[in-house]
Amino acid sequence: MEAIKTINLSRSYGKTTVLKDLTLAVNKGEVYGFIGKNGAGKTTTINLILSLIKSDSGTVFINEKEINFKDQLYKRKIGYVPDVPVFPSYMTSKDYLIYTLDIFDMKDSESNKKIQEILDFVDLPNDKKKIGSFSRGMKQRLAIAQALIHDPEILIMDEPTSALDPIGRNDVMNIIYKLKGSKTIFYSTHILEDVERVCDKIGILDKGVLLLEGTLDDIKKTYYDNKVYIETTSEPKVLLNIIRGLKVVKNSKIKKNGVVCNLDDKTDENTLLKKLIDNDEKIIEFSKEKTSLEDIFIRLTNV
Amino acid sequence: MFKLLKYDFYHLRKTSKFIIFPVIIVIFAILSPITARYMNELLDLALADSGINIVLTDPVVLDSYLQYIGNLYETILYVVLFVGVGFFIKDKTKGLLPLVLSKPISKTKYVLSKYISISVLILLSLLMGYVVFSYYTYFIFDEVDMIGMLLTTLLFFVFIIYILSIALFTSIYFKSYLASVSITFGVYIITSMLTIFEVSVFQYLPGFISNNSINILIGEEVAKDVFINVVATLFISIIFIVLAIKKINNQDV
Repeated sequence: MEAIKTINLSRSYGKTTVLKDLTLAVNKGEVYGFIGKNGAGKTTTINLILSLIKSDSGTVFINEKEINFKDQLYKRKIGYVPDVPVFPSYMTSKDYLIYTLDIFDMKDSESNKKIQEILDFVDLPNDKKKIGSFSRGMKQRLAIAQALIHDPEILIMDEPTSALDPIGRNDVMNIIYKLKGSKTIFYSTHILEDVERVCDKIGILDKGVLLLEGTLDDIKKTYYDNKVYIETTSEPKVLLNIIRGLKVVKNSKIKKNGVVCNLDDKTDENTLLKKLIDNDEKIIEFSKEKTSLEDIFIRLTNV
Repeated sequence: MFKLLKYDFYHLRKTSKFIIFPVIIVIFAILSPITARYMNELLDLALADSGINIVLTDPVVLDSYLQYIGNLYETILYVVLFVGVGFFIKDKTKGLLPLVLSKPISKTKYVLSKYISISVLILLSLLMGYVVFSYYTYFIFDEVDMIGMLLTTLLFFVFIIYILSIALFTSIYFKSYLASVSITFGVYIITSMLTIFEVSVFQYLPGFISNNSINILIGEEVAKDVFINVVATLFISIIFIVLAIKKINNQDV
């Protein structure tokens, strides 16, 4: 079942097209990493899914039901974490969570227990401190807490870690990791390391166009570029010349104390290794380089 | 709707507006009869050494009424206008709106709740001011037209409803507080200016409410004219509210 689906979703601001015919699908229970540079159209997409802005064309489906711009009820199933969460400064975190429960018609005798549990989950103290005096990280944790307090099926997060320090970022990623499997999570970011850690599926957006969509494994297989790292007793410069002379690699460059290169389509790792040994090279390290999401992202978006 | 009202009242309470409106109105309710009663003495004192001799008539209870009405339609109205626009537009200007409307909240109810909560607060403050004003006026002048002043208070509230409906519309239409407050103030000025034209139909426009208040107190009102004036003002207010609701339901957050 598709928890979130968009078909040919487009949006322009004046003459600038921010999103062009976006078609994507997030299956129930998946963690979907929505990747793009700043200004790629990620927040616009989220705002369209949440009916916060109107689309020029296209359709949004939540749990396979078409969403109209004026619909509000489908938001019962959604928890939303904005990129810059803003709360009434005079409230405490508990006040805001009570308000959220109340709006979702879920305020009952168990509310205090629920609030304590969710505050423990996001590691926020349940004290009398007003939100106005919260740090950015605390506001981000509260944003996650308010998005989860009504136990939504779908969690939509707009760059939840972009402005956090490394510790705050790690904490937020741990929260997402803990939620993995229990909720559908649609999560936009430009921090690729985070995506590789938690996401089942990714979509790469650039200039409003979805360049790629699929599971991380499939994408890595598709974009696998037969890259190997070689370190021998020879100097890296010497080794580089030897490897280039073999004429079995497409790209090669010095990396650390060795050389990293992409094999051409006709050559496999064993052939290269044999050729090097035949050249009297004493191998220290010969390893396959994993294709990183960063490599794929750069290749796709720097065209 | 009830829940939204509850949180709008909570906001009003937490941001001191719950205190500001009653306190300001009560202050003017106390000062108006005192100013009317002792203005002559104050002027005598001020002009004592200047050699200027002004003959002033003895203050009467009508002076107290006029003083209070003047304060309502000038100072209090401006406070309502500036605070009202701020209250309506703050979710937008402070960036709170995306998170609010990411929840299953009807935009129509969201707008109506804001409008009703501040209107109720102002009505309660005005009724408090009415009681205090009546007491002080009776205390100082030994007489007070309780019914006339109640009608005057309610008529002022009708005018407030009108001004708030414009404030609501402009705060949804515009993105900045300054633009919203300027346009609301502009409409208020135009509303007031229309009272100087002697066009018969204009006497039913919102700007004539203050004139009708005075007519009630001096016993010159025509009930039918006041009624049409109130209906027309409420009708125009409803139009602004409907336009505001239509706008928010079709606009980007």
